[in-house]
Amino acid sequence: MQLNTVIRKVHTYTGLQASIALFFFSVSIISASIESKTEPVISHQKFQGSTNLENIELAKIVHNQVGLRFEMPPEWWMVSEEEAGNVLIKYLSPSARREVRLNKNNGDIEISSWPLSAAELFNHLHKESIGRRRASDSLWLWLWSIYIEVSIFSLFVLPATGLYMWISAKASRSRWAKPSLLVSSLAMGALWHLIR
Amino acid sequence: MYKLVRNIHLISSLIILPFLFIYAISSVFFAHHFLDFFSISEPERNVTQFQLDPLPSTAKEISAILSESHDIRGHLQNHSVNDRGEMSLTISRAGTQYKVLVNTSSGLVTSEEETASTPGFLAELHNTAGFSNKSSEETWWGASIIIVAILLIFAVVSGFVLWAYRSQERRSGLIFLGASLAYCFCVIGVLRFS
Repeated sequence: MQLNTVIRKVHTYTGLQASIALFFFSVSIISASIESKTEPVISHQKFQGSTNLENIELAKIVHNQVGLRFEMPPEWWMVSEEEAGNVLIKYLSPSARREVRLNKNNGDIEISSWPLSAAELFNHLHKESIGRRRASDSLWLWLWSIYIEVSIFSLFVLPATGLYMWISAKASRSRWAKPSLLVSSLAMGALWHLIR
Repeated sequence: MYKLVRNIHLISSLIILPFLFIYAISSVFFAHHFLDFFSISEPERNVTQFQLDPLPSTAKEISAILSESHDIRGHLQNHSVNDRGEMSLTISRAGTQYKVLVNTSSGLVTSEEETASTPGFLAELHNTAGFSNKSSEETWWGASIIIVAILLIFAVVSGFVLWAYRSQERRSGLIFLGASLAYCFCVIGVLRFS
């Protein structure tokens, strides 16, 4: 099999595999522009244990006590301390957007849960990755993470193989192609320069 | 018809290519925390002092002057006045944050600029979408990204059509696509509805 045929097949099958993810990524970008004003559903619990621990340890105990489905045990990037001294755990899963707050002074746990709209669901799903999920946390989320991981890989393979086909004259020779790439590169360069 | 679809696929893909490249790299940084030492490396700090004369009365006006005359560009995130009558402003754009302290009696402005490393900037740029609470540059970026998203849909759909023309790859492609679709919908279905 010739190299060009191999490249074309890689491009085609990678594209077919990634098509749903690319659609997800597109909708995620658009849905990020839609602000949601949903009110959270709030519930309370009492913390069982001592609050004289590191925030990450407290967060893990709170997580085990509260038992939220599809949520992974807290990692350091999910835990922060608010000015009032509360430990805040921010969760990110396709079930809902959740924040769990532990008041270290009185042991009150506040669980805020925002149900996700379809747009938000797309946005959340595209953020999963095996770098953040373990199979032991949630098998289904981990399975989805694998798909996203493969799709991220496709973001490199598709342009690379597509460019190869274009440059090696195996794709269309439209006279608009070069100006399109040039204008787009210039626009991105200008925006990069302005923002940076 | 085939030629038209092929041109649509090519041109839409080439237009989104530079942006896709940025998003592909930044998504790797987002997805894998072992790369955090690149993105959360100590930001560059730069402190400058200068005089504002005349001094505007509101934070929004001060922010506008800082942007025009002193290249302190970005979105005014928050502002407050302390007990000594000094106004503090936080102005930010993707990858850069300014903490500005304005002495309201003397007009002396102290600006501390924090600039993220390139990977950190890329990660913040990844999150810059939409039009809300952004500086004008970021609004332009947000608008461009929406165009990219629409063109990405064009590229995907035209890619499907081009594949459908290839009779020798139709069956194997259908099996491949079917397996991918089944996997996605099964997992999403469980995550969403179980």
